Amino acid sequence: MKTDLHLNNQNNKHHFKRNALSINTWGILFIIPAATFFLVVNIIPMIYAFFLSFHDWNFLSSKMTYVFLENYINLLKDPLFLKSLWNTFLYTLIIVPLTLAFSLFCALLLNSGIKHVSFFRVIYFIPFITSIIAVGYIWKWLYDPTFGILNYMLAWIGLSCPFLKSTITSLPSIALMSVWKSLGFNIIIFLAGLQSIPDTVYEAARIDGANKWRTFWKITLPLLNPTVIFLTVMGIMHSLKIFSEIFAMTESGGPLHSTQSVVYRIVETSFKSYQMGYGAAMSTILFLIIITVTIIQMKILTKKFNY
Amino acid sequence: MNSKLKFIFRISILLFFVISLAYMPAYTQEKPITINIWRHHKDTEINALKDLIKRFEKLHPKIKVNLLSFPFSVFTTKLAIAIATNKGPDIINIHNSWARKYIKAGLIIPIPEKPAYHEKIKKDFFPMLKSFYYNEAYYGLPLGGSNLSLFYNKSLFKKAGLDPQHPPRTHKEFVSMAKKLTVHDKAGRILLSGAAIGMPNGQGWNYFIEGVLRQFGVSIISKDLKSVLWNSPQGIKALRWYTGFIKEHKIYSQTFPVADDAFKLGLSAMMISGSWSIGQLKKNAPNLNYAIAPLPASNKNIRATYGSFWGNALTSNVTDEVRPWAWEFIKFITTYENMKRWTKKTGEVPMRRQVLNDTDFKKKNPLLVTFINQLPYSHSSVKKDETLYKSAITEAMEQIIYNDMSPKKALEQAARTVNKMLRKEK
Repeated sequence: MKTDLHLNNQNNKHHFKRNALSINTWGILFIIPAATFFLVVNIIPMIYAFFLSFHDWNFLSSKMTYVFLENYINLLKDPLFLKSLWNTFLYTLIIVPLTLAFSLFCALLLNSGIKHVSFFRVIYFIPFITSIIAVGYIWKWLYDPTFGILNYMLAWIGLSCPFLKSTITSLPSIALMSVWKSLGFNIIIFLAGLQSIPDTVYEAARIDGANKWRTFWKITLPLLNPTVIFLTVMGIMHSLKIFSEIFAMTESGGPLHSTQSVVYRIVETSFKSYQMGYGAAMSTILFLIIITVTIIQMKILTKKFNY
Repeated sequence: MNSKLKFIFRISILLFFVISLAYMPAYTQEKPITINIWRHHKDTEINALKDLIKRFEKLHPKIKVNLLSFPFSVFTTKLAIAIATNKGPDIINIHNSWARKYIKAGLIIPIPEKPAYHEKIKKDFFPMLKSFYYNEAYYGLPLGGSNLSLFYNKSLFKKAGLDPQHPPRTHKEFVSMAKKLTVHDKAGRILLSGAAIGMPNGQGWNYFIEGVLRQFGVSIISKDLKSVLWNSPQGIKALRWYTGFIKEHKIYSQTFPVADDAFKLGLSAMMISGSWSIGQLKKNAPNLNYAIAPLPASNKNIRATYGSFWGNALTSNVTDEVRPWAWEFIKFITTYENMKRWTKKTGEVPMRRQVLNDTDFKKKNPLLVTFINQLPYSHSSVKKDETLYKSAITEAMEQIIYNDMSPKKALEQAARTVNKMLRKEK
C-alpha cells in the first residue's frame, strides 16, 4: 500500500494539488454563501423573535422593556388569539385529510393507464403555481352569494350558500379553495410514489388471487407510506401557517374573526399594531406547536413495512 | 477540463459569491446638499411630485432632491427601521393617522419656525391638520387631502322616479330614498341596493365614527385621550341607525358586493366614498352617470365627515446642513399654486383655506366642489392604535349584523376594548 501511494504521488503531479483542497473543503466553501444567507435570514431572526417575546416593544420607539412572561400570560387570556388557534386547528383538520384523499384518488386514476397523462398533470398542477392573489380574487367571485357562479348552480337545485359572507361557512370555503390549490403538488408526488412500486409485487398479488381492492389496501397504500408521511408533514406545516388565502379572500380575517389564523394575527399584531413583543410571543407558540406536531408525526407515522 | 482550469473555475464562482455578498448593503455616498425623500408608491402622485421637484431644482440649482418610492406594503416597516437606525431620509410622507405615533416616537421633528408661523399655519390650513399638531407646534404639511361624500347614480334615481338633481339632504331622506331605490326578488334577496351602507368595511367605519356619530351629537374622545365618549345613548342610537340599513330596512346586506364594486357595477344607487373614487370610476366605469353630494346631515342638522390626508414631515435624521433646505422644499411644494398643480394630477383637494373662495378653481373642477365645501368640517380624531380601533368597531357592527347582538352591548364591548388600548398607548 505504502509503495503504491508513493508511486501514485510521484506519477501524478496533480494528485497533490487535489488533496490540498479536498472535495470536502470545496463542498463547505460552496455551502458557506447559502448557509450564511440561511443563518442571517432564518436562524438569527428566529432567535431574536424568541428574545423579543419577553419584551414589550412598540416597533416605532426605541424603548424596549423586559416583561418576562407577561406576553405569554396575556396571550392565554386573549380571546382573539385563542380563536385564531382554534381556527388554525380547523383549517388543518379540513385541508390535510381532504387534500390527501383527493390527490391520491386523482393520482390512482392518472396511473391507471389513461391516455394523455401529461396533459392532465399540467391541468392539475396549474393551480399550484398560480399566484394566490389572482386565485383568491377569482374564487371570491365564484363564492359571491348574490352574483357568484356557484350560487347560480346551487339555485338549480333550490339551494343557496353565503360562503365567505357567513361566520359558519367562511372557514370551510377558504379551506376548500386551499385543497383545490394544493392538489396538483400532491398528485405529482403521489404519482412518483406509485410509479416507484415495482410491478413484480402486483404480479405476485395477482397470481395469489388478490382483487383490486385488496391490492390497494395491502400493497399500494403500505408501499406509499413514505409518500404519505412526506405529504402529511408538509400539508400540516402548510396549514398551520395558512395566511395568504385569508389575506386574499377576506376582509381582515372576518366576518367576526371567523377565518383568522394564527399567522394572520401575528401579522396584524406585529406589523399593523406594531406590538412586536406580543407578536413574537405568538410566533414562538406557533413554532413550538409546529415542531411538536412534526416530531410526533415522524415518530408515529414512520413504520417500516417489510415484504 | 484539466484541474488547473477547474481550480480557476471554482475560485471564480466563489469570488463571485463573495463579491456580490460584500456589495449587497452598499450605500451610495451622499453629495453635499441632497434632500432625500421617501414616499409610498402611487404612479400619479410620484409623477406629480417629480414635476414639483423639477421646479424646485430650477429655483435652487445647487440643491439636489432625491426621491425614492416604496410599495405601500413595506413602506411603514422600512421607514421606522431606517429612521431609528439613522439611515432614513430627510423628508417622509405619512398618513395623518400615523402622525401621532411618529411624533411620540421622535421620528419626525417640528417645523423649524417661530411660534407665530405655527399660528399662521393654523389659520391657513383646514382644521384637519390638527393630526400633525402637538405641543403647540405643527410637524408636517400636506399637499392635498380628501373626505367622504355621497356618490349617487343619477340614472338609477330617474328609474326609481326620484329627481336626480335632489340627492338626500337629511338622514330621514337618505333612508326613505334608499328604500325607494332598493329592488328585492321574490325570495326577499336584494337585486339592487338603494345605498351600500351598514357594513364596517371599506370607508364604513370611518363614516360611522367621524360622520354619523358626530352628526348624532356624540363626542368622540375625552380631552386627555384616555377614553372614548361614544358609548352613550346617542351613540347607540347612531349605531342602530347605521346598521339599520341592513337589519331594519333591508336596503343593503352583508352578502351583497362591497360598496365600491356594487356602485361601480350599478348594483347600488348610493355609496359613501372619497375623491379617490372619481379616478377609479373614470377608469373602471367610464359610462356611469353619477354625481357627488355632501353627506346627508342628521335631523339636528349637524354637518360632519371623515377627512384624511398625507403630510410631509422632516425626520429626526435630517442634518443641520440639510434642514433649512428640506424645510424650504416642503414650504415650496405646499404653496397654494403647487397644491393646485398637485390636484390636477392626483385628484386630491388642496388643503389651504384659500380654495374655499377660489371660484375659478371650483369651476374648473366641478366634481371636487363637494369635497372642498366639506373640508371645514372634515374630522380625523386621535385613534392611537388604528388597527385595534377599527377591529373593535368592526366587531361591534358584525356582532349586530351576524349575531343579532343589541347595539348597546356591542358598542359597550367595543368601548372597553378601545379604552384599554387608549390607556396603555401613550
